[in-house]
Amino acid sequence: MTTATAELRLADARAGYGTVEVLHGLDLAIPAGKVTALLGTNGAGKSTTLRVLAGLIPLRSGTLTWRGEDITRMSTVDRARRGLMLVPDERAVFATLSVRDNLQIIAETSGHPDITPALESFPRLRERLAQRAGSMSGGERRMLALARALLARPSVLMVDELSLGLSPKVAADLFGWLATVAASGTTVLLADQYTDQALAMADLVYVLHRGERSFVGTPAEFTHGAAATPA
Amino acid sequence: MSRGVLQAVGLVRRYGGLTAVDHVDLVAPPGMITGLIGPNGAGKSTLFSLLTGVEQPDEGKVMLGTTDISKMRPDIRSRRGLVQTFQVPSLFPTLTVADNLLVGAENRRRDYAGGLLGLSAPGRGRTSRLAEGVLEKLGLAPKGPVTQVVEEVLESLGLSDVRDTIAGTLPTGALRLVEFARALCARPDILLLDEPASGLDAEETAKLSELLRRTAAEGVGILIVDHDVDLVFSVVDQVYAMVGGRVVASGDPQEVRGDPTVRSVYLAQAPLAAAASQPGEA
Amino acid sequence: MTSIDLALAGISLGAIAALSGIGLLVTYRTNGVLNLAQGGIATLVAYVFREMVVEWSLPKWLAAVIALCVLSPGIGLLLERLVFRPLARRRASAAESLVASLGVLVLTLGITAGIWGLGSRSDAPSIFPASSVRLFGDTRIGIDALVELLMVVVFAVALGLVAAKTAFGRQIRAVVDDRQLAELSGVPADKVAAAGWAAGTTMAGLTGVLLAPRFQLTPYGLTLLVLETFAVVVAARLASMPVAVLTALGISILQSELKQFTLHGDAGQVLTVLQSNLFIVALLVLLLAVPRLRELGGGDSGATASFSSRGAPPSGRVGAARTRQDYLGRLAGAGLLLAPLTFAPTDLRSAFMVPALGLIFLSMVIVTGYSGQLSLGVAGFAGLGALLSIKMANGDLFGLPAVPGIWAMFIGALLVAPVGFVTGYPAIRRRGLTLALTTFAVGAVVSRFVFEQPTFASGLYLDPLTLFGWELSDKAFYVFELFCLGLGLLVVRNLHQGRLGRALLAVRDHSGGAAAVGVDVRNLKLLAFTVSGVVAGLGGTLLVHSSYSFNADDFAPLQSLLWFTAVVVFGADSAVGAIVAAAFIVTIDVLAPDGTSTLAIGILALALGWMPGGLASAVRGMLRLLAQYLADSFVDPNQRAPRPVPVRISAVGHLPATTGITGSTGIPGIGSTLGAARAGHYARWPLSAAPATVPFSDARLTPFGAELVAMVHRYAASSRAVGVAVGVETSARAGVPSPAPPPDGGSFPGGGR
Ligand SMILES: Nc1ncnc2c1ncn2[C@@H]1O[C@H](COP(=O)(O)OP(=O)(O)OP(=O)(O)O)[C@@H](O)[C@H]1O
Ligand SMILES: [Mg+2]
Repeated sequence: MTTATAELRLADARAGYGTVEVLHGLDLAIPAGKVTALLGTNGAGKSTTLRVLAGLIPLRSGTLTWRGEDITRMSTVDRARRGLMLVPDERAVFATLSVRDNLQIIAETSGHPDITPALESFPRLRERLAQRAGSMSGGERRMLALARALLARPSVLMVDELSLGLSPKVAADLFGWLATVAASGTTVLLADQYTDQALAMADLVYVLHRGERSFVGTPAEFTHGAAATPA
Repeated sequence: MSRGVLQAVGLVRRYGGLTAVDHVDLVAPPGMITGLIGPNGAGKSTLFSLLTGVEQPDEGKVMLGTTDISKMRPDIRSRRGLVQTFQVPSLFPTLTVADNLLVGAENRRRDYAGGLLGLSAPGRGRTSRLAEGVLEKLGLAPKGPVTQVVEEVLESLGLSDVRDTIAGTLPTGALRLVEFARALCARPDILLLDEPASGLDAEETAKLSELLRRTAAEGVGILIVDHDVDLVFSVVDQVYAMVGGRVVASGDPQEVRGDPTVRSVYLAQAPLAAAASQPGEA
Repeated sequence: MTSIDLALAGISLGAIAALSGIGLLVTYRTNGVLNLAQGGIATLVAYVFREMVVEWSLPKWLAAVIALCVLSPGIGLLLERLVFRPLARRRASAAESLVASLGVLVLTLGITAGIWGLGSRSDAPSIFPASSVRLFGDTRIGIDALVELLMVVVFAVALGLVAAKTAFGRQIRAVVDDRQLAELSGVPADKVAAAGWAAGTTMAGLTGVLLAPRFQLTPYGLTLLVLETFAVVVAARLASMPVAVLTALGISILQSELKQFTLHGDAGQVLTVLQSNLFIVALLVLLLAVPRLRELGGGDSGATASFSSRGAPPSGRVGAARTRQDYLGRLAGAGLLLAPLTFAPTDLRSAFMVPALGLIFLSMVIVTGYSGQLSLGVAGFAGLGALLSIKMANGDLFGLPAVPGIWAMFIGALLVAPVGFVTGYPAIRRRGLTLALTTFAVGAVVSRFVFEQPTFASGLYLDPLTLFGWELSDKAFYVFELFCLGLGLLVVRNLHQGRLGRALLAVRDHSGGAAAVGVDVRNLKLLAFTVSGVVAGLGGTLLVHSSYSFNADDFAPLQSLLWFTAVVVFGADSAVGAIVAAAFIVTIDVLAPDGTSTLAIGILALALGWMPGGLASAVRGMLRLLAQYLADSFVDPNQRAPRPVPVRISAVGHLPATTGITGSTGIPGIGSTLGAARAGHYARWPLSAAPATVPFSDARLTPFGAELVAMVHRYAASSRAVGVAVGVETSARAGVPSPAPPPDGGSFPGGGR
């Protein structure tokens, strides 16, 4: 692969829903400590890939290894406890719980029961600690979801559609925030269609098309390739 | 043309100590696209709920044309021409796309009286000239039964391929488009769209933008909320910017875009120092 | 007795009701399941406890330890693992969980009745000594009451503290809110849920063991008693433990106090009923008074779209094709229904029940299947219809003149309309569990205050039915029943097709979206309830005529629960399913010992976790699988798309319900709607890509194969929700030439698109 140490490696993965197969033998290697962008149009299979990595969908064939260890059969809970964190694109907060509880739960399971780091990064949440997460605006919920990811102190952070429903400023801020997370050594996997911002911070780019890999390379290579053959 | 102008007069909505919508005045005339922008939590969706009757305002009123519709139920407002799409798509997942649209077409105001029980013939009763004009120009004039209207909307939005698909099985992009189509079938005078481009990819967004222009050109008033700034500013005729429940700027799109508050609070174009010091949000 | 003595007597019962309420709250707040089986479990444990003490002569303390520390939590763990975990994994709605818990109720009742019989026993042992302590003067209070009160306080405080103050409490709330997200956050959801169940059933067992010595121990009696304590959790708005405890004590003491009064005449009668039914009345009053229960999941948990896998019959071309196909099925059905006419007289009489029950079930299809409202009070409507029509025929109704039997039946049924309407009124604002409980309470109140009262329900007589002076023979009566069933089907059909049907389904699927395009949500709900009431009323009268007597037990509140379960099990949105369910129950009741049909339905209900959409949709799914299998075997193997590997349905449960669709075929390996939801996502967008009709010729089929595939597609299009998976799949993999690069896997970097 591109880099020597792959944090996560997905080999010949097939997965789907019901009778329908969505990933048709996908190979993926996520380099450790780098930012990897997973791009593609609606329906390419980005979210499915992330759910497979998080253990929400079982692989029908193929293997998933994490730092060399086969975790194909490991449960979602165990993966989460060992530092694999997924921020899904929807239902990413506990809607009936207060903002405080949403933060506290993740802080407690990660073993650092202090929620102040999240409040420092997202001051808006400090004013809303008692509010039911479900009654917050779409964008506020998104911030809360990311604040939770921050508290989890994951070794691999996977974010599905970071910018979904966020105002331009907040989206820009969050990409900046993610860059600092990555700089601290966390492996980041970003599924997005907002190619500009995702490309700007990525070290490696994968493009999915209909459940198969159609490109892998550096952002620079992608931009040149994209210029030559518009996807 | 006073019929069909949607007007918010001093609307207020409080949740506990938080004033989500704070004395908002807004006018959305027919035939124009009105944009509503603002940071997350500014109160845009709440304002929509107040306009359509999903929520009741604490103060202020909502006018449609010359009528005060503040006390009406959402379905009645809809039959009067005020139709909404939601931030979270609200299709009927077990019905086909065509049937989703049919529900929109069949319950629209002109046919409504007695129509629920199948008493009224399609197309009976007084028809709003405005809506007729719109549909005619769109090539959607009601040539026959409601099914025809649906067929034509499907056709003009390029949805014919999925007419018999169960709505619940559609991808996000299509969901939004179908919800838009369903709203069109209800022949709105004013259409409220909450983040119609969220989750769409570039191609789908371009398609949407063209549809918006076409619809407005036919005389429908559109009020649109979206965080895709390029989309919003490329289609709107006027813009309102909300921050913290209040309208802080309104009017000509270019002026609003240049407004210092809007730039610093909403667009990521503030002086660098301000942006860096507040990662969360001002 | 003095007021104080009465109050003290009430305390003990109140404490037990409070314990039951705590158990219900624990299960609900930890798992989102309103455990209707609470009473059944309590009864089962009480019977086992008695067996151990009385029959096996175990010491009481040992028996109590076994019953309360081993058996009770064991039941909870088992239920969680086998029944409710699969439901939770596929994000079943609270309504489905409710039905599953009904299944458990029915099953436990069946077990208890099967082992120990229906007879009552008065020798249930009490775990407390029968002594009392003196409070002051002559006033004494039993040890039992004291200890019970103590237990209530301890449990309420302890559980309250755990919930509010500990990390575990937070985890519980997280798991109920969103199990998948909880797991993503590293919370061991399965263990948390299991703990909740174990605690809940332990409280249930405790309730049973404490209640048994106070009353005659009978399977049904004790169960109902526990069901009545639902008033307590309603008062608590499904949330507040202290309120539940106070309400339980309050109602119980009040009920006890009422014993000092006697009144004469009608008022006296009402009072007598009140004295023993205060909990039920409180339930109804509270439900109407409490603005909104604090239901989990935003209060939308009762939406029943999840019972159904399909929407309205499609309009347009597809619909027409489907109608043609359905004729065969209809003919076969009609043939079967007519078959009893050739039966021997006794068998024909047994068959009388089928159309009657069928109508009652149809009424539930209207409310629950089509318009998405939970209704647990149908027996009340049916019984009212029966009672009103008999009274009318007897010339005994509000001084109206006697009306010939058959006309009285129809008028009686129509008279239920206002009751249906009034019950529907709360449904405008309520939904989900609140509505389910409200309808249950209406049914129960009607049963206690009308059906069981001599003033109303005695001195009734059934004259033979006549039509234009001719007395109806058995055969003619059966034909008449079929005629009524036909009428019912016609109504159902009109409610399911065309504009009205679509509007109803729109309300069921997304009432906010429906209102946004002008659908009159309020009137539609009222309409559904009203029509349903009439249909149930007609079914009720037929039921009475087919069993030749009005028996209050036929219309008891528990009956509603059983019927509701049957309807859901057989497919809540399937008119055919309703009639099959009726035939199923009647046939089994005739052939097998009493209670077998109940047991069978209970078992089927438990399987709902693996069978979303009920039997009807399972059968539909099987047919589709068969058709697809056939078609596949005729496709040129080289051209065939790679065969997707079937997965267990639980895998699908992990999906976020993006599109809000919840229906699915639910058979392992058969595309669920959810699955299909994503399928469309990946296979067929942008819209311009491929025409809806797939160019099958591209797939190079044998001619016969081509014909078959076309058939599958027609079927798929018509059976809709389930069908999409096929359609989409073929269009993506077989029909449209795939633009994806050849899968050599090494075409990077820069080489791809
Ligand atoms: N039921 C409620 N209880 C308490 N606060 C609420 C409630 N509903 C909305 N709010 C608050 O009101 C404010 C406005 O919310 P609204 O959904 O209107 O924002 P918005 O402008 O649509 O934001 P976004 O762009 O993120 O969707 C938010 O701060 C939100 O948290
Ligand atoms: Mg919003």
